[in-house]
Amino acid sequence: MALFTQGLVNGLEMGCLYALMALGLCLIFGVMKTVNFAHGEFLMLGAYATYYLFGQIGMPYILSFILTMALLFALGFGIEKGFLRPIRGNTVAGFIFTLGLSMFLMNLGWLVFGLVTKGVPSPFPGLLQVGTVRTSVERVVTAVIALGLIGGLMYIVYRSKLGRAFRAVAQDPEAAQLQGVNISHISSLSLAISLALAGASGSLVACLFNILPSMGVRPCALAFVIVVVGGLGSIPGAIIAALLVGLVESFVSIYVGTIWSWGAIFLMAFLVIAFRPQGLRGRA
Amino acid sequence: MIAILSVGLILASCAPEPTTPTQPTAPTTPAEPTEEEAIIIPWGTASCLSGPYAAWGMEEHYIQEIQVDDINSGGGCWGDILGHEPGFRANGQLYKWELIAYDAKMDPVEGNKVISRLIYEDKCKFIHVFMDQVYLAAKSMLIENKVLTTVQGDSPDSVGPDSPYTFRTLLSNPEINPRVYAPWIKDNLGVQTVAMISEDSEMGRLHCEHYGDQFSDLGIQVLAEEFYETLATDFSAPLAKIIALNPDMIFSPHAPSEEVGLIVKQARELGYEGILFEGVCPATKTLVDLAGWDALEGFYSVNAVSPPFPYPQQQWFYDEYTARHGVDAWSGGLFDRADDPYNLTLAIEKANSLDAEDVAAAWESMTGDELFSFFGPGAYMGGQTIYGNNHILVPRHWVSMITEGKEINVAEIPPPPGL
Amino acid sequence: MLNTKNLSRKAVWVIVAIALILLFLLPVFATSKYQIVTGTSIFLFAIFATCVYQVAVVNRLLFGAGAFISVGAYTSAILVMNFGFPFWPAMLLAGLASALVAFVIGIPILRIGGVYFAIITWCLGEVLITIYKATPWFGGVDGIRGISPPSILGTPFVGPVPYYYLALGLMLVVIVVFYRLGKSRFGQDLKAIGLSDILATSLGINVPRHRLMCFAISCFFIGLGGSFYAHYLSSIEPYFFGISLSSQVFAFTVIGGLGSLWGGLIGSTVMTVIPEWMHAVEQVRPLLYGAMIMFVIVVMPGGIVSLPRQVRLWRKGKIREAEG
Repeated sequence: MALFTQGLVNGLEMGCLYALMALGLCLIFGVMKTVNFAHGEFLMLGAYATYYLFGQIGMPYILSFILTMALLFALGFGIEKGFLRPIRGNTVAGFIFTLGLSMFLMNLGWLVFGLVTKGVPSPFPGLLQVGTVRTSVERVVTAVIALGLIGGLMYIVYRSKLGRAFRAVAQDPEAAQLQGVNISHISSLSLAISLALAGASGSLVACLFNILPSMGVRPCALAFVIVVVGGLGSIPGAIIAALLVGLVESFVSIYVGTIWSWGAIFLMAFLVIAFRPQGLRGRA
Repeated sequence: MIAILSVGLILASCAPEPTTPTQPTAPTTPAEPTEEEAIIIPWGTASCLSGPYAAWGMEEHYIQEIQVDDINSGGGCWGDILGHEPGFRANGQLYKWELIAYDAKMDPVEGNKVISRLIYEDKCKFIHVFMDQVYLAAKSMLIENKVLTTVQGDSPDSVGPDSPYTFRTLLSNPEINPRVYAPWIKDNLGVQTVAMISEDSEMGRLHCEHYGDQFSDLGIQVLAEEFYETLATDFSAPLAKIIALNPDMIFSPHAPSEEVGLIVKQARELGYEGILFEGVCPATKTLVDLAGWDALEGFYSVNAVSPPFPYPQQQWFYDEYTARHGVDAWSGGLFDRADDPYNLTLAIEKANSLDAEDVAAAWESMTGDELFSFFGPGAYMGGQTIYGNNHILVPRHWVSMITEGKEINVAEIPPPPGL
Repeated sequence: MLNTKNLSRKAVWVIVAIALILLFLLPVFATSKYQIVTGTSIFLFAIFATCVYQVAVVNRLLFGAGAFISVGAYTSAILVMNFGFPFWPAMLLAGLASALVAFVIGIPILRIGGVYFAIITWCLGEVLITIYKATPWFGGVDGIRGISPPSILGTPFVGPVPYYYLALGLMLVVIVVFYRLGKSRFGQDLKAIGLSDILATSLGINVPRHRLMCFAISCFFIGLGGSFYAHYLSSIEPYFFGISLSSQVFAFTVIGGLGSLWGGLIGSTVMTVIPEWMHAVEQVRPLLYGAMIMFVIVVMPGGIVSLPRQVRLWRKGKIREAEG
């Protein structure tokens, strides 16, 4: 029983982080109809930003976190205006371009940041024990921050004028344009937000785990699985799917073996896409 | 049109290109004028210079550079400690090395291309291969061309009678390390129960199996064997299971420091207070960056030597390496991969020939002072009882511990005899 | 007009014939075996990439080619090592195994299009890798080692040259088969499907069945290539067939031209040869792949194959501009 509760806690904590990782991807697909294969690499950039700002320069963590998000937000704007313009709306071209971007950024990372794996000291050290369940303070804080950002995003999307514009473009870009929505502006904004969220998750991962240029590959795969299982373009779907993935990973690790958890997640994705392609909450 | 293009491109690849080695080592002019010209022969490396394992590939590259420069210039180790002139001799002719390294990216198809380039274009008769999977894919090509090969990798498939020209000087051997360290653990740490947490890779499983056997034979109870995916970062599930069993020691038989550092960090975070031990050489800086000195207090690792160095060649290597790459780049585990160049060169000199068969026969027969090891005296060529031929260097084994903000040597164990 | 067209068509065939002869004679006049090994690598990936093209004909992006390469590789290796099959039947069965998997998996997943399909083939690859790693029968984490080389008339392959010819032969078979397929009635139907599912159905074509057949046939050849891969490398490990291999193959197809039969060969050639030229700048080499993919997709979305057409259009545009 103790093991079960431990698994539950671990799974939910990681699920929140995964949700944060996946939401950016979800947003891009909804608004720009593109899948960003390089999503993991932006997470990586966020992690390195935290490494330099918090780990090397010694900035207080929260400040470095905000600055990381801001940097990636700006980067998102820049990329959209520069590179993605010619392929916007063309899903296949976007897939392929971002595939190349992903390879490029990863290898650029090795060149620029060096080959050695890095780490930062935990900004929230300590053990939290409730009954027999043990977890680190860092993980709890991570989950809380992730939920906070997710809440913030949901507020923007569902309660603000900007959010209405996002949803309009996601539903029908032409109609949205007729309503006076500036598609180009919305696209840039969505990419910027997406990258900021990726950077935020990167910052959190940097403190929890390690930092190396290929660190984005696994989170990217997870994000893809989550977004597809949840339903491309559905935010609530992505959140549910993320928690599901976190729990599957945790319970499979505990009861079957860690080496099976990766395969189990992909099997779940495979089955969902094969038999319910619109995902849990998506539109077909 | 298209056909022309494709064929043209294929044929264009045939245009002989000037072979530009990545890191050419210029033979340094020694103090006294040399009367004779040394012939420069290439030593090729199928390395890994990009990708997740590039950190080791680059380290290995730096190690080779230092030693090749030293051999060519008759410097601190080759000249002073081993008493050689600059360069090396075979059949009366003086030779010097030129290091050529290409990136095989740990991909066997790429490795094939790289090794065929080294053999057929750069005319290498001596090649060093980083990692077993690249070696295995190119094995038939290397043997067919009689290339004297040194392998960085501890798979039993990479050595043995069907690799007649292949040698290995790595200290990390899944069949040998456990025979040395398991008894040491039993005798010195008073451990009665152990839980193993290992990477799910060939090396991880092999080390785990052999350590498991050794521990059981010695009466140490193995409470659990948990496996995780290579390059995993979240060990909370296996650690939770292990810590619940309360073992005296948590043992990681063979994992890179990016994983071990996180294991240590997460184990301590989850409140584990027992002994943490890794059965492989550490990359200390990475461990500290990930886990912090506090979590690492009392952490044991093996196959590494820390200052103060008991043997002159260790001090020399430390000075050279830190001079070139900084103190932060240093780790005691660098010695583990450093024994190839000198031994290869010594074997050529003993064989008095560049022919792979002669060199292999000579190397096999080298004993005592004919061999060189950064780990200290007493190393011998062994492996007959395990692999079928004596192509492994069996050196001194070392145990180190991290304590009070630094790494110290805890034990120096003579080479296990009769292998 | 007609005359010059016939002439140029004949000229094309002559050139193709010369090209083939040169390729066949390469081992003879090559200055070193390194070129032979490089050529083998080019042809092997060209096989995979061309099969990806064939699947793209029916509007499906086979992103996870690694999954089917692995089925071919493991089938062939197991048949040869555990059951003592000679190479050639093993290779054939490897292709059939791959086609069978494609057939079975294809039934539920082929009706999904676009990016979903790409991702699901990727998922399949990962699931298979987990299975290989966990099953001792597949060699587990170690994979299968010491796979014996193919042999002809009792003599096993020695050296790079036999593999070169086998790879070249397989690649030519694949190209010829897909070329004839394209010209056939079946192929025309496939092209219609590629244009639009609805259009094809209105023409009376059984879209799901045709698509399934096309997918299975393509995966058959991928399986053959997978068998070659296993015997060429003489040892296979599960992680060889992951995202890295899949994205490499996919990238080659796209760069060559996703819509052209020659795209696979061209992409494979360009992406193999150019990095080989760049050994002088070893550090920067890894950036090349990503940079080239991005460059091609933005500048010539149809791939390198579309370059002549694009140049022609650009020239026409310039002429029109000049004419005012």
